Amino acid sequence: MRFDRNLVFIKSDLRSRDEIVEFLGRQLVAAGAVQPDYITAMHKREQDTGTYITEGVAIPHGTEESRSLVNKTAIAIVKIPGGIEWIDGKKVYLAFGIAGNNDEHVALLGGLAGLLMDAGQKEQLMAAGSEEELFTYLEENIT
Amino acid sequence: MRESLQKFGGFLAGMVIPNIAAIICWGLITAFFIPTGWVPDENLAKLVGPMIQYLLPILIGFAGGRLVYGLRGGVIGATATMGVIVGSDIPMFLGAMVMGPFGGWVIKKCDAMIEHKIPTGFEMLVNNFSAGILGMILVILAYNIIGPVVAGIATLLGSAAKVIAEAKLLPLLALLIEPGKVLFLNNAINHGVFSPIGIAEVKEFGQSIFFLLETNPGPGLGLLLAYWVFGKGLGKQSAPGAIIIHFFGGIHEIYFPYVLMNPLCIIGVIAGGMAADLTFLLFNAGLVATPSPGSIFALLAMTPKGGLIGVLAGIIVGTVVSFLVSSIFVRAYSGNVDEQGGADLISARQLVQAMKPAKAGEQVQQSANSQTLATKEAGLVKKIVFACEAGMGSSVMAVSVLKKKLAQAGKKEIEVVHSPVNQIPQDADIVLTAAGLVESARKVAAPGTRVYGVQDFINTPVYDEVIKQC
Repeated sequence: MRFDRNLVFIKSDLRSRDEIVEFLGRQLVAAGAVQPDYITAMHKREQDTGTYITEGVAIPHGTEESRSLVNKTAIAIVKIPGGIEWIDGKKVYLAFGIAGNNDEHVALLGGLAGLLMDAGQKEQLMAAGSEEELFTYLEENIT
Repeated sequence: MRESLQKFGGFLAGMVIPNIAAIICWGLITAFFIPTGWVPDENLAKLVGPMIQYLLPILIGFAGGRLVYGLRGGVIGATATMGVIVGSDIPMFLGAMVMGPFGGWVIKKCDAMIEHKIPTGFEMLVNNFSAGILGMILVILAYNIIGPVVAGIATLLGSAAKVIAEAKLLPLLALLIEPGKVLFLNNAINHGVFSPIGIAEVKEFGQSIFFLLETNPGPGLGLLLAYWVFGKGLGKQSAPGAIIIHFFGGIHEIYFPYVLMNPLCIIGVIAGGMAADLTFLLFNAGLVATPSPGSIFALLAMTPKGGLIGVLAGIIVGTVVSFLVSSIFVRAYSGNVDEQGGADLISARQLVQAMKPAKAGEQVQQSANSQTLATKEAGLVKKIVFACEAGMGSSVMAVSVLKKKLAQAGKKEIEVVHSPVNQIPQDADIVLTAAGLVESARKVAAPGTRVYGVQDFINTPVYDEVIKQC
């Protein structure tokens, strides 16, 4: 699978972690990737262990039980220019909402992990100023 | 050596302990409904045979396969176990403990061989057929090998027992009885070897000691008490229930797994058996018929008038000796686990503490503090497991990061996998997990496994520490 231009957003009006999770969940539902109950599972997952993965980045997704609610693999991306507090005072600027129920998304996430490992690349990704730029950067650097 | 023995014991326990509930369930049904049970019921007693013959070994085989290679390993482990079950007439717990993990291991190797060689879109088909074909081969192999092996062991034990009995060296019989029982040959020994001798003796003397040798619940009771007092974790917690089933219900099978999961305990039950047999001899104790099942009530019911003291003395001596000797091994084993686990937990906690500051600069500084950890026991690391909840996001990324870092360090041969936290494979050398899951991971991982918590899954000094240990 590849990134979907229609699932890349820059939003300044999302004020909390819950709003971001809700927003990403709805985009995944709208794209036909998951059933509506998956959003509930995404919230639950945040309450259980949280999906903050590294400085400035989180990857909201459902729980083990919600795998059956995934129709197809998809990733919705939102950038929050001002950042919001995700958990324990840690800020998140970029959130990847993930729907995956098989290994299809593993390669993609691996690529993303590689990109985030590289300080220079991560900086460029975080600096993307428009949705188009963000999408293009991901497309070109993650295959 | 000690560490690998511990790991082996932990592995055996990992197959048995999750299934204790099913064993207790079977024990209760047996104690209640068999013809000599508390409330005999011919219809319900039909459950007893199939449950111990099929259900329990399959569960153990599944757990064994799963420990090695997750659900897929479990499925093949359980399938392979079917070969030994059908191939022999006795409940194949031991066979399941061999075939389960072996099945898991074979499918794991097979998967590793064909990885990356499957054309896209055919993964499901290839995976199912590769496992299915392997399963068939394993079942046939097990089926053909197991029958003669079990028959051989049974014949050997039987004839050895006869020789000893005829030589009047009764206490030495414990050397055969106890290991035989643990291999689930208890009924074969009791009804096949001792009952005929016993019946002949009753005709002549009115009672026989041969009815007491295998059915004495003392040695098993001593072992279970040792687990209750000195054991740890689930072994300790499940012991009281097992004691009731064993001592009052007379279902000795319940204690066999407790020996299997710490094989040195066989010395304890043998010592208990010998001491008990000697006591029976001294008191000239005997029963009028074979007590079945071997519960304290059945034994007392079969005791001839005036023979009560001798029978009770033998049971008590057997219990006490078995308890004392077994305690040594139960304590040594769980003591080590405790020590090791404690040390790891502390270092894991320190590391979690070190991870708390989020700023990159501070992290580097903190990383220096945990240097001590890196120098601590640098063993040969073959497998690193990243444990998580769903395996959908963070762990996938963490595994990818760790693989890249290991490749950069020239250590490509180390296996890195992710697994749900409740299914951490027992052959993991290092377990990484989210800071909040460290405690749960600790409980599931094999004793002695190093467990570390991380908060940042991409850039964390923990990865560098781990790589240094490899």
